[in-house]
Amino acid sequence: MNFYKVGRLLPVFLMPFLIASAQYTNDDGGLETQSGYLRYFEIGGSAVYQNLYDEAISPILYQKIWPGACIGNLKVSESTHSEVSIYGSSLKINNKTNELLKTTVKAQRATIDYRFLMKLPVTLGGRRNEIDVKGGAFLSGMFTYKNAPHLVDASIVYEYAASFGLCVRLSKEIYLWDKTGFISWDVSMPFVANVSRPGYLNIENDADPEYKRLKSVFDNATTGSFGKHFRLNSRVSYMYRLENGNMLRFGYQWDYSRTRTINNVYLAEHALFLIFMFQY
Amino acid sequence: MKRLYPILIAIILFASCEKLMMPETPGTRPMDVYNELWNALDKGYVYFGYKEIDWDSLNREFKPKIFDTMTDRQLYDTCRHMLERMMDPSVSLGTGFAYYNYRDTAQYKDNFNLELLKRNYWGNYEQTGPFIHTLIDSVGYVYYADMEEEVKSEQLQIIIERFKFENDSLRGMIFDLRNNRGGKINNLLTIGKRMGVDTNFKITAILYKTIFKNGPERDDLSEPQASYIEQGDETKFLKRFIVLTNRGTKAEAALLTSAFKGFQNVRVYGDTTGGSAGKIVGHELPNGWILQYPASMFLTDDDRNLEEGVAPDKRIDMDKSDEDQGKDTILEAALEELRQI
Repeated sequence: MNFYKVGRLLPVFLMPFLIASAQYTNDDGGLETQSGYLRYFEIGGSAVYQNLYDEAISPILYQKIWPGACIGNLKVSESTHSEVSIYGSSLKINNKTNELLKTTVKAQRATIDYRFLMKLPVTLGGRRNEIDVKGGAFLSGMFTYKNAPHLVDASIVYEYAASFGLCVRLSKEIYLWDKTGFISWDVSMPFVANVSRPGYLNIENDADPEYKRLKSVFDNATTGSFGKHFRLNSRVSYMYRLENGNMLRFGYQWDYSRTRTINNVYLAEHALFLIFMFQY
Repeated sequence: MKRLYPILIAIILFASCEKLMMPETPGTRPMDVYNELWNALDKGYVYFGYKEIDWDSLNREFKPKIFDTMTDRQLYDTCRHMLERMMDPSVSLGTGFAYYNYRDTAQYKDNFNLELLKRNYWGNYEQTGPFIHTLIDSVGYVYYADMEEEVKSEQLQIIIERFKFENDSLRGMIFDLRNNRGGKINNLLTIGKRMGVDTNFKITAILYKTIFKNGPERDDLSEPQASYIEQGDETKFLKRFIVLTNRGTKAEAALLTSAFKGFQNVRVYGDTTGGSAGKIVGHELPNGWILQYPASMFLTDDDRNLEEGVAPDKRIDMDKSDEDQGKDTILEAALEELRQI
């Protein structure tokens, strides 16, 4: 996938949302649908620090800071919260072990997370400082494509995980910089996942005319629980309401995943993000 | 702000948990590097059985020579001496300051003289993609130097059309693969589709069989898996076809020679090809050195290991006196064969 070409098309894609969001609203809560929902289209960027340990690539830890991008959709009401977020990063990641022989891995990662949460009958923080607690389901798809040229015929390394789990969200309305906003903490953890990683030594049979890489990805897929794929996504963010009803969300996300197959892979990603939320 | 403290503490806790949740990486002491190298080959190298290499005995011999105060150069030299005993040109070790790769071609005849070809045979040659092609005495001649550049079907069509124009007088084709060290395997499949004869019947030819390393034990090898090529409706190279090879025809070019031999109108002249056809796997050592080794092997359709090379149908060596007279003995033999048709 050419991320740069997609990037060039993004402003065209966003134009309707930019125009649609330029509306004034007296209601501090923003524009509500007839059924009482607030809806936002989200787009933003992030600075990502990635720690990668992939047995199919190297016994050395690879690290890098790189920009990432995300888009999403948020739909909230008094009692429910549903959110789709698509996050992508494309980075050249390396290690600093040998200055004379620098190796680089091109890693492209995309995740799509869907969270649906409902207000729980739990009160935290007392009546005056009430913290809103929501819990629900978490559906996630993750795909990573890595190219490590120094591995020659085993240079293409991939992993995907389609997972289902639980998530919890704590949020609180706070008054900051003359505005009412929300500070929230989301924790998501899948408990069942279908994952795929390359086979032993990652040797592809591309000498066979019948060979199809995509087919081999699905042929290697297995399903398991925490022992197979463990992911913990923790996100703290602050949502700041603008005059026109749109919002800004900024925060920090820690995303850790570990996939155990014949070649284990560990990834820890720290992201500082800023997201524009266009109400529609 | 005090109310935010629990959240801030949670962030710090999660971030600090990371060190516990990431695996420990191996150390970079000479013994750690040596062990990683030995283990990587132990679990991945495919030819231990075929080449009868006693890997444990090499470990017993070389491990005592590793000590923690040795320099990178000393460590490299010790590892290199161990790898040399494998006598495998597909095994390499890159360190940044030195590169080891076993070279076996020194003991074979070159059987190739590029300058002589340029001077006396290629004349008004044309180049289409990676192919140099010309007509030599009513015989179509194509030289294919390496397989790195992607071959497009259109390029082959241009060459075939050129020789088709000469169809009445054309006696056959020579495909010169000498000193071709391989490259992209897809090129083999693209070229293979242009081999055989023009027909409406679907004919399937066997290309080779592949055996993969599929586990950490030395005898963890997959069953031989045959690969076939099905002839499509693409226009084929014309008439009889002679492929020229030497010991420098290696890796994917040796596979291409094996695939060519599956077609009835093809004969191979020259020397046995080189091997090194196995898929190469890279392994980074804890100090950043790169070890590369074969992790799969190929068999011909008659179950000969391609590491031995593909034997020609007619063994011919370059003759020094012919060379002095400006003649390529192997090419002349092929031309002579085709002229007689």
